[in-house]
Amino acid sequence: MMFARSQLVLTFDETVVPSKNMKEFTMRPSILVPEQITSIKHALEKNGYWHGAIGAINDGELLKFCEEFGQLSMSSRQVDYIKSIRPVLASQAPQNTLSSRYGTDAFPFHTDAAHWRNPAKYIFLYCICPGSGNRKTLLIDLSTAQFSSNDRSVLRREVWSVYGIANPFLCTVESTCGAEILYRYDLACMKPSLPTHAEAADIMGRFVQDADQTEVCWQTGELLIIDNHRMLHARGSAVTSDLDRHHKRVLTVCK
Amino acid sequence: MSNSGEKSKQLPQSKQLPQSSAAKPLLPKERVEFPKEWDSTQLWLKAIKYVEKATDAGSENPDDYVLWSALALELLARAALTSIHPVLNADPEEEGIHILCAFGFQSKNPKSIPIHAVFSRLEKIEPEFKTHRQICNMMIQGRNQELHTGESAISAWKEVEWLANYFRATEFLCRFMGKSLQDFLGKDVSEQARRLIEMKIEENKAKVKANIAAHARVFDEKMGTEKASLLEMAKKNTLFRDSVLCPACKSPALIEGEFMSESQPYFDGETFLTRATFLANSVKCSACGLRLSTIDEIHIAEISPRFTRISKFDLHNNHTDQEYMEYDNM
Repeated sequence: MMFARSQLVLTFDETVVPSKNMKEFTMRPSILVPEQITSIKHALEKNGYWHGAIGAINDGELLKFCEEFGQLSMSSRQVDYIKSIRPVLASQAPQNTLSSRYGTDAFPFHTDAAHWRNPAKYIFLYCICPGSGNRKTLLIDLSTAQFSSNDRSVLRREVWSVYGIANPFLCTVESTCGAEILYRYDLACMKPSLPTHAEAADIMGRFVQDADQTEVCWQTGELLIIDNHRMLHARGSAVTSDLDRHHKRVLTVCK
Repeated sequence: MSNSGEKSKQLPQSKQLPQSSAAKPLLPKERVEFPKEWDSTQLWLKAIKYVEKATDAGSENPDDYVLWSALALELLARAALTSIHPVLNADPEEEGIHILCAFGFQSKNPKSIPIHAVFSRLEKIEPEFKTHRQICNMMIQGRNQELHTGESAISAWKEVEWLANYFRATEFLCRFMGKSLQDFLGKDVSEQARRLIEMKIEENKAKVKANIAAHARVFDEKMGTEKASLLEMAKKNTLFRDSVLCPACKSPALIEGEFMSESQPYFDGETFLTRATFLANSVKCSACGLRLSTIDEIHIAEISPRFTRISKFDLHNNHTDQEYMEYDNM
């Protein structure tokens, strides 16, 4: 299994940090120029994610930046567009969440907001504190999947139920959003609607097991943007307890 | 796609982004694009789910096979209709409250039209659907009998009587939405369905051709004078009416059909004309007695199912009568 670090070249202020194999960029959203946004969008289109250091920003600046990529949106359980993401013990986690199921362990690969009728397009994860556990975020690019035409046909046709929400609905693992392919996959809130419809789960399971994963290591002030229609992501495991790990998450949908 | 599944919340003022200064429309806060119940994609997926249940029941449980197939058909038909617009599924009664619901003015219980109205509306949109009305009505009737009475009518159904036509109807509805039978049934079942459809088409072809051949043979065996007299009668019957050449005896035969569309008036150098297009549903020959009663039969007989009628267009129809005072020398 190969673990490739993201290496993106952006055309604004940069300082090469010898100790890391990644270029560090300083950028203030408040002075973000259209060319920089375009560059990030280009990287997202190419790789499905973007990872860079943006330094200290406040909530307003973060939201303003995120708005450049889509319409801000949030789950019905939230009161703010910005959600604090921290490892939580299962016993202390809110009900019906990934934390309530997995606690501080690694999370399985999934897409966010799979329980929304219109899943979020982009996930923004801003690192407040990487935590003591050297925990990574893992990414898999579904656009690289070599699905056979039969597999693809199954992913597009097999009916799944989204459950655990006020208004359950039906969906497929693969669908389209305009001209774009959209993947929806979260076994914590999705299941095949019929026992005979279990092939898609096998296809995705095999793919996740064999796929190349990208590891994102965190530093304070770094931002990760994930194309949630295309990428699976997972929280890796920690080498030690890291209840001090803290990220802010924002979601946007297609405008 | 609407951003449903999550609410738009009112943020604390300190966290609100600057608001536009444009006046806001006077619309209810909870307005949504259309009812989730009438989402064409949801109806489509549910139809797939039900047809899978039918497939699972299969030949071991033929009653369940028919019932789930009928339920899948209804959902498929509603998916097709709502793929045009969800309002087409709205019950027009109760002062249009359900129609309003289709445009985002939320009603607690949006009411759908009955299934026979769904079929009628589909037929209005695409007259070729008429070919499939019989099997659709039969499936719904079977479902109603099964669910609402103590009768076990569908227990007597034989697959040879309904399955091929059912697949033809579902294929039509899939095509209506730009999808394929494979999208609906999956690869394996759709291949079986395709074979059944082709067998049925071949069977129908053979029947129609045999019918034409029989009428041709009977006509050919008549005396020359009788033939001439029948030909004259056929010509008189079709004078000033829509006609085609009978495939059996080559006499003019009456063709009737349903109106589909009319062109804008056009000028042919002398007068204004319009061209109306009809979809044939009947061909009757008074010379040899041949009857073709469905669009399928007409198609198999190699007669074009669409025919046009050119009519004069009177410009005066578009203008109100001008009142004028008759001459009076008083």
